Amino acid sequence: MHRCLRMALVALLFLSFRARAGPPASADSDWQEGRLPRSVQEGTPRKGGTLVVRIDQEPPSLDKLTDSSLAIDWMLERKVLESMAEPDASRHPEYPLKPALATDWTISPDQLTFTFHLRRGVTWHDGAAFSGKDVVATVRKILDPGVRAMHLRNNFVDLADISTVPGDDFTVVARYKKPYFLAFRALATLQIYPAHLLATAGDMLHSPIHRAPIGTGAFRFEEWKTGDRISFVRNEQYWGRKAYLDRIVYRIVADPAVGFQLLKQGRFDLYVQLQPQQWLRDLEAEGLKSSVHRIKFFNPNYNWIGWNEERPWFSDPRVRQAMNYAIDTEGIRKSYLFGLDRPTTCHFYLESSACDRSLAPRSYDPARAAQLLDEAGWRGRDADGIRVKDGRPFRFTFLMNADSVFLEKLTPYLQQELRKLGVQMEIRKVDWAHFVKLVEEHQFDATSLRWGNTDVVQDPYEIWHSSQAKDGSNFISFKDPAADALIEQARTILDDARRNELYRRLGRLLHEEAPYTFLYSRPSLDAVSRKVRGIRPSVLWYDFREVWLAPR
Amino acid sequence: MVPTFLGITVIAFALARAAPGQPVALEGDAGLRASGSTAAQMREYRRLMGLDDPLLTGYARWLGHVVRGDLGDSFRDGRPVLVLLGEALPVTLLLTLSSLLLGFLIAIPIGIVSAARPGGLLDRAFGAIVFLLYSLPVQWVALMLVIAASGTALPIQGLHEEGSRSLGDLAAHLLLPVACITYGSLAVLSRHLRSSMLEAMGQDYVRTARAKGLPERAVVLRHALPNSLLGMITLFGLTFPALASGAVIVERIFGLPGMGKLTFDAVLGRDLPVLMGAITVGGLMTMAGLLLSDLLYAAADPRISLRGNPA
Repeated sequence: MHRCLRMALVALLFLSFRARAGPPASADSDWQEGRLPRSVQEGTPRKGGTLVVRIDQEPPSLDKLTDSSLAIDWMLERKVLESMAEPDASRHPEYPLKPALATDWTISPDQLTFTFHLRRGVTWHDGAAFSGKDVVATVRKILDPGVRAMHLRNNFVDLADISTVPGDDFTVVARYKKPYFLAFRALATLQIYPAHLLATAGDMLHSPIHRAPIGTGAFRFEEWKTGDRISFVRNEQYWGRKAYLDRIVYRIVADPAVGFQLLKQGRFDLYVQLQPQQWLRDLEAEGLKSSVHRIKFFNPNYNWIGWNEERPWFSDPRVRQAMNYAIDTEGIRKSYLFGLDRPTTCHFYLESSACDRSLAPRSYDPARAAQLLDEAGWRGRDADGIRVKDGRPFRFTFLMNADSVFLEKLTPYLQQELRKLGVQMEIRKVDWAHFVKLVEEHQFDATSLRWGNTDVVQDPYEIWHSSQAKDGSNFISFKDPAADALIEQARTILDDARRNELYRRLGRLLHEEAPYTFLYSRPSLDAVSRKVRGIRPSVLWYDFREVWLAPR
Repeated sequence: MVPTFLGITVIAFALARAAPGQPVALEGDAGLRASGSTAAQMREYRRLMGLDDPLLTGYARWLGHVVRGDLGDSFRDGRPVLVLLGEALPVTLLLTLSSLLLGFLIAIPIGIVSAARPGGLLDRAFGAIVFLLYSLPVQWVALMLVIAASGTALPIQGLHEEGSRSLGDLAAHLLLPVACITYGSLAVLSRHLRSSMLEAMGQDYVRTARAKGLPERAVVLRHALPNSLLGMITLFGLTFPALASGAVIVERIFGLPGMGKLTFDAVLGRDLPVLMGAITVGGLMTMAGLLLSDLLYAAADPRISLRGNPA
């Protein structure tokens, strides 16, 4: 009997030891993949507590109207400021719209008139009442040429008129000059500002709401201590289900090594943007596996190498394809990027149906590259062994942003690979502010950048339409009538599925023409404390309205 | 003074405008947001910020504001440059003044001890130590300190714990950054004092002092030291401008929003008003430093007088 008891005790100890020693196998695969386990969404939410979030950069302001910065979107959208409709974060990767400040809406058959019915009884954080006047005033502010709202104004160029219905401040009607699929989404998800404060806000830059926003959201702005922290508190007057968290504190810690030490000390509940080696190795090596979950999530972004088609070397698609074959993108991904980034061949969000998944990246094939260069007429060689065509040697300059760690590794490799093919590549490094100017002015032969977006629905017009080579973001001057036709046609189609069919065709065309060498989509690598519940990564970042803290 | 000040403003304006590139938002890891930046938008931005005007017009307008005590508004966040400087300068001065004080407090005894018996064991030991410290890169030292301190209660980030305003808390937060800024200056300060003391020790009055039988301690501290301090005042005057420019690396690592970080971000983002403001403040601090060291000379050296020589 005695012995039995002891054996049971040992077994019990062993079991409890196992339970403590590590989560079961499935949890381990979650850890490996950077997925949050199901348990994070379970349990009864509990009110209270402060969520401390590490961010690495201080936003320039807390003003969506004047600044387009990711940190501003993270802190404000859907948390502090709200829109008439919002993308449904639980429906990845389509993110259809669901009601927010509007309860419902209608779109006229000609797709030119949008009518929004607004929620009643909503109040601003300063106590004033919300109405359609706020929506109208926000759009007017964006259209005001004295306000630095260029990044938002683009979405409203075709707006003919927006107003509330006479006698009904809770119905907003917007009329457009021509049908445009993004017009509706842009207006519906526009973060609304209070009209009574906009009236005196001038160019926004000198207004109190530039740094201390007033919204209708579940969290109110509390305090901004420059260089240190920005905090928000729960809005007790919120119209919807009130948030569980008492407070959110964003701590600005620029240095990644210091940030990691603070994470080890348990100072953060959510750590945004770990470095790849920290995420892959250090978290586990430093014993943090028992206190945090790893999160790896792909937002709409990709980096690319662009070949300037105004330059004599890159006007021929065969040359651009050759450049593609000359780069061992898979090898680079494994050796320089820890295999974390995902290869992509698509301009759109890689998990969206706008991408044709059957298009595989061109694999490394120097023989094919040489053959294509021959076919394109680059057959001659000069005294240095550099290919020549019509007396012009194949010598070009690769312009790069001097801060890029990735390009710092990629460009010497590329230089070496191209030299083997008889192509001479020089590397020019300039700082970011100078780089942006040179790229905008098309003063480069080849360069590399990353496009990022915060919505899965996007219009390729600004980047790929031939008209955008002047003044738009078509920096490489890609001009193709078939592509133009697809892009223009897609702009009039509101139905996602039908539009995405056109985008898949555009994708196949871009793959053939190879104006870019599409590289990778980069994941966000985050870590979240195991006591944080209800958290869910999405392309809209995290929604703290749902988050609560489990007791320890 | 006035021509010097005008010269400072011309240089500040010219330097800021000479940088190629254009004002940009600093995004995390250098990606552009689609629809975040097009050439047309950049042009619009330049128009709104008054960057399209001719250089001379721009300078005249800026100078007009500066003499009225207005340094303009930051491109980045729209706040007055004076407010930004007003936030950053105290942080930096707190850091650099405590480091300066600490530096002198440590370096002077080292200098004295080294000079008292040149070539002796202490002289050689201190020489080796200060030069070793001098040669350590500050990024590395700062990171090592952070890693060493992260297991302890010593804070490694910011100026205050949230909610705390106590002096002890501030001192604890300043400990590591001040150490990082100070250790490198010890070599310069202590070696400088050592050499000027050695020079003084060779003077006639020291021989006289020794000859009249004063103990060595009194010879060094009462006769040689005061006469060697003039060199330290020069050094102080030269260090003064650096006090306002801040310490980019240390400020970044320890998360201190001082002048170094402000200026560095302004350079990267081409925030011209902030950049020009910071350069102007740096110039003014240099002027103030020279003035201060002249005043200190007069106080320390009876041969130098503030009044003109009586005829």
